[in-house]
Amino acid sequence: MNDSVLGTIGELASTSRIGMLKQRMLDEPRFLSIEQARIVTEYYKSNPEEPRNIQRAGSFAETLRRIEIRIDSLELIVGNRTSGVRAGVVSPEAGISWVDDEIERLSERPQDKFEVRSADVDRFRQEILPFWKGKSLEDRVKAALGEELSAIGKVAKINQTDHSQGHICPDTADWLARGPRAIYAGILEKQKTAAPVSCDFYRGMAIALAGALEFIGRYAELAGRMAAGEVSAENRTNLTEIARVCRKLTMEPPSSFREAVQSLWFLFVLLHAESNASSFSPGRADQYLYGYYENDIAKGLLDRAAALEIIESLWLKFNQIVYLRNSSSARYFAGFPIGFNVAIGGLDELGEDAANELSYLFLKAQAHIGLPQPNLSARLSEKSSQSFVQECARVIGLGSGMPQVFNDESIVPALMARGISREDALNYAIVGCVELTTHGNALGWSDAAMFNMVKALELTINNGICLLSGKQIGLDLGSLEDYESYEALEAAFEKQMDHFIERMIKACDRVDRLHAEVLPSPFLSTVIDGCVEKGLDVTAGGARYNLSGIQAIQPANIADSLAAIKQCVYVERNVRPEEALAAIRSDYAENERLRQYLINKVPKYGNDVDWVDEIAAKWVDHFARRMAGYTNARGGAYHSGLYTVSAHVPMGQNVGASLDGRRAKDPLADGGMSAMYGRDRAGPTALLRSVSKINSENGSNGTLLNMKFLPEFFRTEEGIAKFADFLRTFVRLRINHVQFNVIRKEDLLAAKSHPEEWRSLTVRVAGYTAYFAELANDLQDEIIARTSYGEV
Amino acid sequence: MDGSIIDIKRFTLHDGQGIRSTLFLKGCGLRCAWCQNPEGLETGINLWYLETQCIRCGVCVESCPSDALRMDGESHPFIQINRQRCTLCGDCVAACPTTALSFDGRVISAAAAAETLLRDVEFYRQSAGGITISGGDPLVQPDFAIEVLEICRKAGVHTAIETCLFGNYETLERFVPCTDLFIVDLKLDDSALHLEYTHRDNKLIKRNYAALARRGVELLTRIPLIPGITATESNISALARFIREENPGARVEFVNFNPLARNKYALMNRSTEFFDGMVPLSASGIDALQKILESEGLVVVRDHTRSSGRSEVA
Repeated sequence: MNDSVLGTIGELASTSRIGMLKQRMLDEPRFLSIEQARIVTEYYKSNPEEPRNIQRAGSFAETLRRIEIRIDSLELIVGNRTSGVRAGVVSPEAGISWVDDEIERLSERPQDKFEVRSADVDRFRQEILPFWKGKSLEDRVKAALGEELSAIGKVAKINQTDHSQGHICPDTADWLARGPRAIYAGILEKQKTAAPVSCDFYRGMAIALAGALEFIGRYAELAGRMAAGEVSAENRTNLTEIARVCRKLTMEPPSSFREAVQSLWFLFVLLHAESNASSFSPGRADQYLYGYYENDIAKGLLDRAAALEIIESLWLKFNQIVYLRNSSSARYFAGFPIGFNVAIGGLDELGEDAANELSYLFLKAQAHIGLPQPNLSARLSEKSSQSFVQECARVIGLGSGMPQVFNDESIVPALMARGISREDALNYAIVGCVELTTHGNALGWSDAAMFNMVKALELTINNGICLLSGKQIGLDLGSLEDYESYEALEAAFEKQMDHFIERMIKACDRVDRLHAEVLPSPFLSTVIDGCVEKGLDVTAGGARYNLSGIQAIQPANIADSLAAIKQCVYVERNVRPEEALAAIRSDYAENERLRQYLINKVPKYGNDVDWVDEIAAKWVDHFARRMAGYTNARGGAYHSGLYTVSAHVPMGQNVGASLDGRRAKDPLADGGMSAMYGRDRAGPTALLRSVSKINSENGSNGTLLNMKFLPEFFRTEEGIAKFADFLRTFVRLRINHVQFNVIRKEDLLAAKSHPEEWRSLTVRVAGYTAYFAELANDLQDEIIARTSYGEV
Repeated sequence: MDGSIIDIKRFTLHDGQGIRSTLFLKGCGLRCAWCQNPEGLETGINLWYLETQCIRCGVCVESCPSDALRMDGESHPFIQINRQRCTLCGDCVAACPTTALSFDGRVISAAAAAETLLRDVEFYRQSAGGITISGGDPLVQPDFAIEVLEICRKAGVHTAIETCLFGNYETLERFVPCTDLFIVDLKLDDSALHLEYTHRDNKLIKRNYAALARRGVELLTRIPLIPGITATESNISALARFIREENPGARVEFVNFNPLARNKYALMNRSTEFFDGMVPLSASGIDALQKILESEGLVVVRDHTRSSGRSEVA
């Protein structure tokens, strides 16, 4: 990249078209949508004998033929799975019992509200709900595992129980290169020669792809009709072009940049329409779109300003699909983290820096749009150019929380340690928030479960009895009074953890198998490398790589609690075990003195104190070793991640008072790798050093570190350069991930009191960015409380 | 050897180039009315009571072997320290569950101080940063400071000191081999005013400045902007002439007045009167003073991100 190109990109402005489209989108209310649920239900009712994958493919195709579609005459890139934007789509195959419980409250719940049309409530209860009783994934999981899930739930929270799994990065490059028409033809070919057992598998794929082609064709027709009636010449030209692009895409692969971006967007609309899941990830779009871009620029068909407008159109589109979760899940994953995760920069297949002009244009689009999606991720390596690192720093300084930063130097080896080839590891992408995946050939099942180590420790020191409910939920191995040494306590903790890990893995395997039974995904399987060759659905292990990721939560609280126990109870012996137990049993009601002592007089994780940081590293190690001993239902490995998204809040609610001085039900440390909020007082360099002591290979499923800087830091070129150096040192320290909130505390307080004035303010919640005004109050408070740096 | 320090702060960005860590020493030869780090004036360690952190548990009163602490119901401050009786044994500080009672510094060995300073060496290498010894003033504990600097130097790390130049030139000269950058303060050109506001005249300081400049060391000159005192046209003009004569083309940085130091005075039971009604200079006010320096051919370094002084660690 030469300086003049950089300068040109730096000066590009956002167009009024983009401004208007953005405003219209934000002004449109969010509704619950049952349109697809009605079509799907009708289809299943009329086709009761078909195998499940054909029902899935058929109902998907039927939806694509019938669902109402809409085009805004200003749009350059079109398509959505509902006519309204940001609709909450009900997905009956995955789970609707919870919708029945919550439908009246959806417009009032604290997190992720949706308007509900009253007619829809009746239709939902009469036409949809009765048919699915006992048939949905949610009901099947409940029948198979209901009791076990609640028995272990406070320690091991099993995910993916009422929705499709998603969290996958399709082979978009192949989708673009061949186009859906050719992929369809290839499937028909396969179907002819397939063994009888696989015949239905290919038939399902063909039905799904035929529906997809019709769907794209409907946009061509609609745009054509609208063009005929359009009075504005400019809009008419645009609509005519939309019609041409869409028509072409039904027949052949894209050749121009605009066509490629439109084709990419259709792919993601289709994936969401099939699965209604969180996170289908475009991945390394700066790499696979570059050929189209370069070609158009070289031929003079496109200039950088026009390319940026197309990119920004796509960026807006990424914000038009949200994902409807139940209230509990909305608290764990607050603020619609739909996970259109776009990774820029990083190393290419030869291990050289891959950043290109599109990487910079994507950063520019992020600077202009500043909305929660895409989840923009910058891949950095020691080979990243200074200009790229500084541009990332500059955009981070704008405060939208993006790009988040990933480290090729630690992630590539971490993935290779999981048996992934070097080529695929170098081509990694991110799904969801921070979860790592290979590109186009893996089902990573990255949110299989979350393991609450802090709760397991509570049970270990309290006879297996939950401090909150008084119920026996874990193994009774004794209490803090019974362990004669710190080592004895550690041995018991290990046993308690292993007990729950064993039960958790069994439950995860069962859920995984139920997905394959209930939610085969024929369309998705056409764009995941391995499925067509193996003749296996992606949910049944068709992908080349099949991992399952479980998060170990939270190293900071474990390190801080065990450090307190070790120092006060076993080494200095200035706190008697019975006093410590009495204090946490009463939530420190009678002993604020002890709570303060534990907070202030015991060193904490995140301050570069080796013996405390090593406790965190040790238990993460233990967890990762246990994961490596299990194989999942699709024949792949389990591995560990270190992130919570926003789950540190509800998971904290499951934990009684802890000996790190945390009160009962208070949030755990945020993120995954972060220190407990407010307790990392030695500054950001010390925090990074603490984090670097946790083996990054143990975070091969993804890790999350939150840091907050004040905007002053980014005001001068000198500040930006220092921040870039800070990022480069992060790379050298081999930490997988870091992300930054850049915001003033006063801003957040104001946004909390006057949400209407701060509607577009975005903050980094965890692995994603959300509208601050749309977060629940306690999560807002928690973000305000996080430590900030910058004034020294 | 051991030294008396306030603290070591990592990730400092305004005490020299790049990302740095700064060691704040105790003890200073001057008594500036506006001092930003009053806990750095004396080398001795003092007991510091922060009422807002106090939960009135009374553990400190019980722990004191000298009967120097008292807590009387609701009266402020909650804990009264009898400083005649207090022997600074530290029992109350250890017992205090919060940090309401703490020392305003600690004694640490040069090796231990250097160990902490060198923890962020990866950050220094990447950013061309390093370590800085500030204060207080390094000239008050030269042996300790030099030992720390030498260890850091040996580890290949860039070193800087921040000094008001009030000390023997021979002492200052000893720093030259182990210090890459001297950040030196000039406050007032008029010797009588200097005496009035810092308790010392500026003859020695000016002599040291001239000698150091002749020595050819890397020098960054700083001028604190205290409204109505140092930040006057006449003072800045006079300082500018002096600097130009002794150190032509010098790099000079203004350090704007920081009202936050007021809290520290309150904490130490010192008068806060000086700070009443005093506000930092506006950007345009600084611009005007900058022109004066530039008219004398000096290079003004402006860092808009800085907030002067060592702020409270939240």
